[in-house]
Amino acid sequence: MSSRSPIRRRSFLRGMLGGAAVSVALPILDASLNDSGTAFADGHELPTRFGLWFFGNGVKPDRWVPGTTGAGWAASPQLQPLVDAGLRDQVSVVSGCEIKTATHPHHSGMTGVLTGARYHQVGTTRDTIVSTFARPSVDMIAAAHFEGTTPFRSLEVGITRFRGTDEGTTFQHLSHNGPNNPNPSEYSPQRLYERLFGRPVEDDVDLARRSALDAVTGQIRRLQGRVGARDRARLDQHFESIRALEMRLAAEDSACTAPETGPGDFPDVGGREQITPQNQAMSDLIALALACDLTRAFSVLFSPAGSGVIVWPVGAANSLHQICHDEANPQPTVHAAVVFTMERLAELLGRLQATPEGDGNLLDHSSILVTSELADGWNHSNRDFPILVAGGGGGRLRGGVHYRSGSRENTSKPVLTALRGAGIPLDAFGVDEGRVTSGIGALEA
Amino acid sequence: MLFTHPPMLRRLPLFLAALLLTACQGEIGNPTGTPSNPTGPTDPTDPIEPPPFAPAPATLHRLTRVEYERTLTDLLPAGVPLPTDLEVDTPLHGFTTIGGSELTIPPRAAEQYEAAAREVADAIFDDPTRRAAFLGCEPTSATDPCLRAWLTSFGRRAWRRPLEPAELDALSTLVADLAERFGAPHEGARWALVAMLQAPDFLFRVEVGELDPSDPTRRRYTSWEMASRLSYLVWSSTPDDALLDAAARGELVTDEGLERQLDRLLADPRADAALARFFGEFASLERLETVSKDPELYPELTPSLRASMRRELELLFAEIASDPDADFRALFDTNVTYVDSELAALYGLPDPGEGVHRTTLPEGAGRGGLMGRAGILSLWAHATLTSPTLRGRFVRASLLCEDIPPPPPGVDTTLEHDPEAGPQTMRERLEEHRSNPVCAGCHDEMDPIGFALERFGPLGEWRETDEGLPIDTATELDGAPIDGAAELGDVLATDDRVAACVARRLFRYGTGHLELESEEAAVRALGEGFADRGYVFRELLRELVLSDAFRTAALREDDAGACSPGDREACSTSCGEGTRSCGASGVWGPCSAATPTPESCNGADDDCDGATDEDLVRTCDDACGGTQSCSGGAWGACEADPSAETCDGTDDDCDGAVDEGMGRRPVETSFTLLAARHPGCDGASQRRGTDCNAAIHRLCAATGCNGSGFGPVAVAGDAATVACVDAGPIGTTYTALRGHHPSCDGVERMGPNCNAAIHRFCQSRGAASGFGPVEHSGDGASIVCVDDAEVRVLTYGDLTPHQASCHSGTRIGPECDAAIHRYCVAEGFATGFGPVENSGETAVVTCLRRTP
Repeated sequence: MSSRSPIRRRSFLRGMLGGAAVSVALPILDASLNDSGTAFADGHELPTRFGLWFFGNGVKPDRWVPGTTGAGWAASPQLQPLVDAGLRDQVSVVSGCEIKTATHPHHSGMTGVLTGARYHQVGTTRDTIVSTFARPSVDMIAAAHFEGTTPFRSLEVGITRFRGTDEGTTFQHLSHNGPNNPNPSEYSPQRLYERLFGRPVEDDVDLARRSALDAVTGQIRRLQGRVGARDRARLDQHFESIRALEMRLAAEDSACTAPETGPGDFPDVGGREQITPQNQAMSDLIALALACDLTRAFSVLFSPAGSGVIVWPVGAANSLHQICHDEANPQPTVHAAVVFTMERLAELLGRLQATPEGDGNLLDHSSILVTSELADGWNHSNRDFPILVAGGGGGRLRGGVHYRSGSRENTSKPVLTALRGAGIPLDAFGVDEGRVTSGIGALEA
Repeated sequence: MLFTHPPMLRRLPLFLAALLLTACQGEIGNPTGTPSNPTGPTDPTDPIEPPPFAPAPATLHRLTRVEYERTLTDLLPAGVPLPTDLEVDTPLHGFTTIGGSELTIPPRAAEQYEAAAREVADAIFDDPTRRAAFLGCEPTSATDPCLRAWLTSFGRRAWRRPLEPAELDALSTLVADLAERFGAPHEGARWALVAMLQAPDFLFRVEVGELDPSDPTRRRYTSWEMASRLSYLVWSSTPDDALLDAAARGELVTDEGLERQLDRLLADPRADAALARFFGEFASLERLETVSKDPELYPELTPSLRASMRRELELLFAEIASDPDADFRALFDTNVTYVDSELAALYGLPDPGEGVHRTTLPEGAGRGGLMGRAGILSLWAHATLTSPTLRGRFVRASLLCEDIPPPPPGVDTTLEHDPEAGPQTMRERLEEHRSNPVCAGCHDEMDPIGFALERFGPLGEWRETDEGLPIDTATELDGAPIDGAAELGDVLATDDRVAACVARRLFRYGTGHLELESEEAAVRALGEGFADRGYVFRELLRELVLSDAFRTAALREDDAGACSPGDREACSTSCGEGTRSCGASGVWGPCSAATPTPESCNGADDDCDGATDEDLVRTCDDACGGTQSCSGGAWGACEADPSAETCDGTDDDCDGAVDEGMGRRPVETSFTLLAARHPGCDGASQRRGTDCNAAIHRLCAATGCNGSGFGPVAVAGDAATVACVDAGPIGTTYTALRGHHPSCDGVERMGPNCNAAIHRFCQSRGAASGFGPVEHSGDGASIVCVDDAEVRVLTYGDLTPHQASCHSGTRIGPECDAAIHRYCVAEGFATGFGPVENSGETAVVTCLRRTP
């Protein structure tokens, strides 16, 4: 486990710069696998990862849902990019499900699908709802399960920069630990690189850092004795955050050697956001972080709920949210924006698929939930919700299936399937009307 | 029973009548007389007298990014570079300070703070000269007393209070251990600095308060806590030594001490930057850095022009806010501007040369004050188009503190435009939009204000035409005629609501929370004080700082029964007996007995009422609807497959069609289910009233086949029958309804007068009749207009046979609701409501035809 295989820097950087897909970094584990490459030599399973990939404003269901069900689903116009990238066998489509929790434009969909619970309304003096997550988002359920196995409890990544402000954390962030307790996404590929690989190992310094952190946790506990119950809970999170940092310092060094140069950042060119190179760089870094087993839980906020991203590459000149409401049917620009979004998803999934691990690749050993906050941005519908479950889940997921619910089943079901697909043995997901105890059997191996 | 005698109310003062009416609505059919929503919010636009002031609880305030940066700048030696990798703030309710009071420190932020602390510590300790100056000595050993002296003095500045002995001991141990390990006396201090800058006492403003010696019903902030409250309000930064010394002398719990320090802080240049920050957040100016415009249309929008737009507004605000004599409202009608070459070009002014120059816009520039400046105009516009809606919304929400609800789910929001029809101005396109009654309710509140600004394009540039057509900027703001940006500014400058709104928003910013109902009186007093002192902004700050709302806090949960650590006592919940013990902080811990929770399907008596899994029914998750009940911790079999179709979003009769023929009909439900839609309609505190209207509306709308509903038309215990209809709500305002009946003015929100106002409102729009309000907020009200209905002029004598207690003595209420429903059903209709007009023995009711 302590052998270090060098990352092939050139191929890594070529991926960063937006070139053809390359196989990033050899997985660290080859040396200690059994002969068939299906497990560690000591019998432990290869790790399975959980990912959440979220995009705002929904889809056009008439062009999203595949025309056939079961294995080998017929490509729909909006899922064509996944088929073109050779990912159909690794992506299952779930259609026909709906949010069962209380409805409100944008707010209920995001919290409903990602927590299986209602949104938490903050403050009561305004009718313009300000909401946050009542419960941890699905990626944090996975992070809690994997906690302690990797240096980073989780990674949160953002792609497009639009960030809502006025309607609460739901509109600004994806990953949440609880009410008003979000995990903000990292939008700088260079900073993500530095965070993942920037730490020189200096034993004395690490020891001093841990001593300082011990002093901090001691002070948090002292302060908790002086404050009220609500603030004690907030300080509990601060304590947990410091503890996560201490665990990182205590963790074994990654067996990967850091690439020497980061991907840099992608400032606007001619006033236009560089969505595609930003997405490629972040996808490369996620693949590398998973290959090096730096984390097993990640989330990608491609665009937030009600996103005002301007999708320049498809000819949009105004905010996507605005176009969803203004463009006449059949909404060609909205459609093109969804296709563009799925192309970006295909880049991440393709990068994982191209990264070998054991007898397969990273995508084989991942379970990735892809969804949005509503079905159709035009009318804020919460029915026929767009959901994909990608990856082989380490053999737990069949892949390549289109399951269409004929009875408007709960969106919590495919979410439970995705969590179980990452090897997380849950009996149920969600609460109250959002609670389910079974997943989508058709997707499970 | 006052509700049944409206004439009596008219003799009471308006606000008192409104109070009684509100209370009465909650009491209809409610034997206990509990107010309908005792803890609900006060609507800020409500003229009703707010309850007496009581302060909000104390809380921790996480430093915002700006506060963190300015604190480091003030705390550390000059020349230490500021860390750059820091979390972006999460503003809530318009302000980062409110985010700071709600949010905590997630793992990523803890990493960033740790890296930042090490960066600045390295910048100090790797430079021997800077290090010596910072420590005030060159320590010669790991236990050099000068190190403890440094910890004491720097600790007080960093944590904004003296360190307690235990804290000092813990840090001294860290200093000595690491100095020894690294073999250098100063190395321990480096890591103590790293630790202190990550402590919650640094990253949060810790506010706990102490019992107020002058009032046992509340706490007050300590002199130390007031030092931080003051400096973060006025400087966005940490207290300086003089302020901490004043705190140590206990001066900051007195009016004189506070005023002396406030004046001193205001005289410091740091105050201008901090006040500009309030204004920047007030007007969302930070978004100017990222607001998108089409680069092909606006190649001139460079990062430097973005900065110029923001700077103009900040300097304008600072000029007015820092002047001890200036009327703040000048912001809306001033012609002063601050331009550099780029902004001058956008404004059509001569190139002022290098740098930023204060000048004036020429007479007839047509821009007026704030509303005609590029920063505001470009923020509230799209990338290629103007948006009268967004600009109007800014005025409504940010300057008038009025709420505009989002569009309801399922509404077609498309602005259809027939290309064959030729070019249209934005105003013409929006006029079409507003012709849709569902949209018009809210858009009527926003779009007309924005029409005044249509001379300015998406970047705030002057334009003569829109799509080649002449631009009409004549419009109105709540009845005041205006034409163009300058006149809009003139009206805003003299509108009392604007100044009151500025005061309200400063209160939110300065206290870090949305005002509670119990603080409404303080917020209004602040606005009145602002007016009394000639709208001088610094006086508004003084009013806030000296107010009880800024200086006191609610009692803590443990204050009433304060305990000694280690004490134990018996306690109980409805689930049984237990014990609780007193924690180290003198706070009683939770009772060891279980606490009741809502019953859930788990085989346990969660709510401790002696019954297990009682009354748990849910809709089955299969193709043919049906319901299932819980028993013994498990959900039973689905029942009633197939059954008669009901308006429930499922195919009950299994014929492949969902909700066929369910357009309008009575639906049997319960107050338990209604309370899930609106907690006020729980059958105990309220059985009929605005909360129930909302609950019924939401229940019907959620079935998927109905747009809204009214009722209840029949009740029995928890059971309630409501009438769902096939029409959806229309947003309007009490201002508009008052035009149809003067008594339906928003103080009076429902009842016979509002019934008439709504009925007439709908008829004026060509509908047969209408009911409501199904939702309301402030001046806003959602109502439902219906067609396929017959309006019948009856006497109460026609209704009494259907429900004996409905007669001209009762006139309106649950008895008459039931009578009208039964009358209409007996006459062959689906249901009915009313009276929509009434006078003497006459009652006009609306019966709804069955859906074909």
